[in-house]
Amino acid sequence: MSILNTKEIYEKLNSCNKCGFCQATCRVYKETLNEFNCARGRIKLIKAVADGVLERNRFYEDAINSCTLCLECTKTCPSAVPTTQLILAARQDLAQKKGLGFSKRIALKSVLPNNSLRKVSFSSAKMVKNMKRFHKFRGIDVAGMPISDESFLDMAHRIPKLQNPRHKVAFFVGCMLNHTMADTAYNLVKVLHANNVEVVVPKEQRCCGTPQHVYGDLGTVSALAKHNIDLFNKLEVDAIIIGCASCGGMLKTYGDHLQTNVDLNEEAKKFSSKVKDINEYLVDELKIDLSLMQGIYCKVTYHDPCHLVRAQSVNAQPRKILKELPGVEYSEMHNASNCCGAAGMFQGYFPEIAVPITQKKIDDIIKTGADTVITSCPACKNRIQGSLNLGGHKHKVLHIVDLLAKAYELEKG
Amino acid sequence: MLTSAVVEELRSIVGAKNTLTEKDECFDYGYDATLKEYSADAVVFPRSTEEVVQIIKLANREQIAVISRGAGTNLSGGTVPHQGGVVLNLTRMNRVLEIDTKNNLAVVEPGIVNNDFQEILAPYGYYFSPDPASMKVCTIGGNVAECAGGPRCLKYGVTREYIRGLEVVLPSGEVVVTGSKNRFTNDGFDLTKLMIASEGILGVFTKIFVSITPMGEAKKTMLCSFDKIEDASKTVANIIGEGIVPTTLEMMDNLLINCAEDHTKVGLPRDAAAILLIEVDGYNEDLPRQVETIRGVCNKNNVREFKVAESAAEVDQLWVARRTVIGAVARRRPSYSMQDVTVPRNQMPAIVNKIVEISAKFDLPIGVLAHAGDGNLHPLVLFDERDKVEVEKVHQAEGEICKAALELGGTLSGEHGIGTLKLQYLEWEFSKATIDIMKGIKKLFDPNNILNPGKVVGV
Amino acid sequence: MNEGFITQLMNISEEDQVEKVHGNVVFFPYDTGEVSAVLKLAYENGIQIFVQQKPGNRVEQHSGKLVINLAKMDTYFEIDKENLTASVHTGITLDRFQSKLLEEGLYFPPVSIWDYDAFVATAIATNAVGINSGKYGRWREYVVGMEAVLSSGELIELGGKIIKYVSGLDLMSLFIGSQNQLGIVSKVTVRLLPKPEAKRLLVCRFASLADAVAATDSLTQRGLAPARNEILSPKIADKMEFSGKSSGQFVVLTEVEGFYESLSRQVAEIEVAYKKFAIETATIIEHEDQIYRIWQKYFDAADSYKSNSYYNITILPSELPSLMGTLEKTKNDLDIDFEAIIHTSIGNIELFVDIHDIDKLEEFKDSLMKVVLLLAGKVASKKIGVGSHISTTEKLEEGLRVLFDPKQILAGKGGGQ
Repeated sequence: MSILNTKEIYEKLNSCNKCGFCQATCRVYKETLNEFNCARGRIKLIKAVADGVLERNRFYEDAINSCTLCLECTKTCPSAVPTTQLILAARQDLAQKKGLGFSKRIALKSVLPNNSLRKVSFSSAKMVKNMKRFHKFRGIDVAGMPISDESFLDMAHRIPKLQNPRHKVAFFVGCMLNHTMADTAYNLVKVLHANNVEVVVPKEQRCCGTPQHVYGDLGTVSALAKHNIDLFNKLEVDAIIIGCASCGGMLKTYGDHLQTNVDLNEEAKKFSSKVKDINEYLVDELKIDLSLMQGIYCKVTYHDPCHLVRAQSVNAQPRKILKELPGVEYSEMHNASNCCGAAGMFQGYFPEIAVPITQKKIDDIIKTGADTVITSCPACKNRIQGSLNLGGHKHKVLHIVDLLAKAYELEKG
Repeated sequence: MLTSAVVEELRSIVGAKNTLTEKDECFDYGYDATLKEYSADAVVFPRSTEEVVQIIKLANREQIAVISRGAGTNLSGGTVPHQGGVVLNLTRMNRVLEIDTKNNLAVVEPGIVNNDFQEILAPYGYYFSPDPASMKVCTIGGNVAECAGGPRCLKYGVTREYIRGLEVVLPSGEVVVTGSKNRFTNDGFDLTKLMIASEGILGVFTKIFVSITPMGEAKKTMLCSFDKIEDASKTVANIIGEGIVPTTLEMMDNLLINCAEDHTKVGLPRDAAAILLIEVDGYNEDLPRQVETIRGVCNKNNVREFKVAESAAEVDQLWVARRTVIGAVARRRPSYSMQDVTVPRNQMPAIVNKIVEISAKFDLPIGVLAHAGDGNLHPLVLFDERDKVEVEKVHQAEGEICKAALELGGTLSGEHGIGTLKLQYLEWEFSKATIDIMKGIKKLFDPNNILNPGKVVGV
Repeated sequence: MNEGFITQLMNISEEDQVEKVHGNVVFFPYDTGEVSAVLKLAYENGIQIFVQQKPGNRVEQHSGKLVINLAKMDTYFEIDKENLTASVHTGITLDRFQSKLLEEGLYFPPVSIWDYDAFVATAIATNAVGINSGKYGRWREYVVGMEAVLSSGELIELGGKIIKYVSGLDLMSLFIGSQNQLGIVSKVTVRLLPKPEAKRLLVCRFASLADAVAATDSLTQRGLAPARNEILSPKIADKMEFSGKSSGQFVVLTEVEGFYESLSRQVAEIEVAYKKFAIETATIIEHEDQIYRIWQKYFDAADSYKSNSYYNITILPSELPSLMGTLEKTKNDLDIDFEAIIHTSIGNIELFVDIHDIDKLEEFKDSLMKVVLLLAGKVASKKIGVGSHISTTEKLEEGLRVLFDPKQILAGKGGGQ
């Protein structure tokens, strides 16, 4: 039986009363104006597949895969129909019935979960991106895509120990920060150090499981979750800090993704309760006071990553930081919480939809008059920076810890 | 089914990117916001009047049904292809062609979303008065085709009052402009108004000349809760008796208060029998006394709590609760059937009692949402469409609600239209001679019966 | 008219219901049922119908037709204060209709400037524009229910005391403004508004038409929307006999209404606006009776001009200054005189031309048509738009006439009025 016909999913497929309000916030629908791109339409298609009325053909796969999983529809729906969950179920069903396809299978099952294979593939990507014909691929600024010479996990042994730390935390870095923004990852450590918080980085940590999860490979997700839970629960730490919105969303819900025994659920709860996004940790736990810092003079705006604002309800904290930092002029962006169009592999599979979505984000950024865009997700950062580059704009996109690290460095003189 | 030659021709008119012909692709264009689901033979997305003309001419020549569609939020089964045919989806004709604040005028294409239009007007200090609950997604073309109402229409009137003229593609493929940019055009029969609320059976609108309104100076929003629903209904009639026409006078019963609160968590009183959401607007200095008068009327009718919203954010939240409540009822049961009956304002208590009776008689939960100031009610019958016995009961309950409204001097539809769902009740409201005239008009405009056949008047 | 028909007519009527005047037969129905019966009879006999506009007898030109005079359908008057509606037979005159509502403290905004002695049926047949229409709309915006009788005698009942209504096709909008060509509306229900708490009338004088037009136009820019805003040319203004002032000035009548609190601010803002345009004097009138009397004088003054050769022009309000500027120039060039009433809020101009020289009149007319066309306006009921559009529309209108009145016994095109 397909997962679509399980009671849990099938009831939810029937809970949409087709009011159509999801069209208001679905970024993909707004671009294509195709009914099968909004939540209502997709749910109808999934239900038709579950009922055996519709085949799992190419059209259906595109309709299901062209969702950015930005969670807008789920938040907008007056009846709280969990469309994102239903899309994921449909993708799981597709993975089961039709397989992942060669490229996804290699990427999701073999490369991403395996630390050394992943390292090799990012190094080869570095060579590919320098080949001229790939400089701009499907609307993505490949040439400008950062790939760190040394991954963060490789440099983690150089992190100094603190004398009398007031807290001790573990850092779950995630693949994107690790390989493409190692400096940013290191900045996160510096910011915590500046607050006298010790940071441990377990080198054996693996991919969080998000990429596998979004394409329905739940077996791999479960294995990764189990590995990471075991690894981090052994540590004596106050919190597990995240610098990537998508990893955070995943780690906070590990309990939902385990396919093994019940005991592990308690472990998962313990693990997830410690997971904190860096913004959340700095503002809610450490209650950092930035008012006496040295001024860094720039005009910034903030982009909300989907998986931070909607999956984790973190949006006030980064704004508080930016508004308090002396010298920083903060300007709120129109539609700051709209998806940037990255959405993992979506941007590569559906450039005709992703590019205009990103363009709207770029337009909103430019209207703020800011010179720097702050965000808290490496995927958003790369997407927005890449599109700004391709458009010939000089704006810099920084992770919030990059800005904070600079402030603390100035402070030290 | 369409022949491959017809499919080819459609494709050549609007381009491959704007044509859907595979059965699966068309699947999502067979429904609207009702339970009705059918299958379209093709979907086309024209981008200009000329493309619409060519599609209509083709359809008229080949005698193919054409069903105009905007956002597909219709509540009367009016946009479903219940006899197959080509769905003419106008959402890609969504430009604002002109904004003329000197004459309070704008020209738009039919596919523009009501709220997108409002956002474009806002920097000019203007708005478009019709504000149906679905304004965030519904199109202006759809608003005109249904003569949409909305909370604001108690004071400012329905869509009809804001349409100055239309560019219409007739079923023959001929293009006419009815009315003009002038606020009033008196030249012969009022074809503009005949087109409004004709639900797509007489022509396809390709340009819409609308009146726009400068934003008011101030408003006050009040939330009043009652322990008895009759007290709320009486309050409604009394307020207008005091010489105040609020912009809005909305009522929700206990069932809907709870659905709305589940979704929005704005702090609606979950144990109240009914709430009234009241808004007045006008000059700053005129409002305090109006609020006090309304408070007095509410007190006289045993109001439990009378609250004036303090901030703009609070007002927005209350409105989100109101606008999304219909969608929110799926939290209780997966399906709903909604009526749109309207009665004289003083019959509100009577119709509400009747609905409560019908709910008990059929053992079905019925939520009452009302544009109470207009006497326009949306009783929401909740059920599960997979339970065939229940569906049968729902149909009977619907019929009884309609009959009750007509007996109280009301109408089947205040703003949602007849579509396919209420067609069976039409003869309860109109004499045979009247229906014959309506059918005659349809046949006059559309001799081959290609536009939205079988709807509204049943030709 | 054959004797058989007259005998049949006498059979269904009382003695006081049939009159023979100048070779016409006039029938006075008492209610909808009688309208239906008489139309049925006329339909069967193929007798042409003429519906009289006003109670008086001015029907010589319609010999051979059956004239229907609604004067006896004037007693039914139901005011429903809970629903804020009034229902009447359409034989009541407009001024009686209005004054009765005023007595009851109710407000029916479409106040006709012309023909306030005509039947309500006439206002329905023409979808009459009132001097408040800019702010409040025309009759169509207020009719919520009606009984109409088709030429066959069939009764069509539509709407009721309900202010929102989209059931079936909108036949009410077809009957309203149809000049009785589709049927005779015998009963209507209109919605009412609570009477505004207070009013102020500003009587202002401007030295030139250009100033008067620019001044009223500037109110829109300032977001001010008076309930009435009329410009009167000097001779018409003189007829209103404002005390003690010399003529030659253009009078602007600006009325605001609403709640006491905001009225003085509205008046002050209008004064500020008008002062930018060389206003000569402004009198503010607060007394309701006094305001009422001024409007009555205005209606009388306008009515006395009606028989002059006259044009009714509609134009976008923002084009009023250019239109009036051009007309002033033409007036000087041709050395002629015209008087005007401008309903500024709806861009409607009534132009009275007093020219006896036919050539000059033609020349004036040509130049008027040219400028109106240039400014995308329209004159009287002449259709505007592309030729093919118009012929298609006319074809549809003809079809509607045949559908509603297959034997075409209701007065032919435009002939009903």
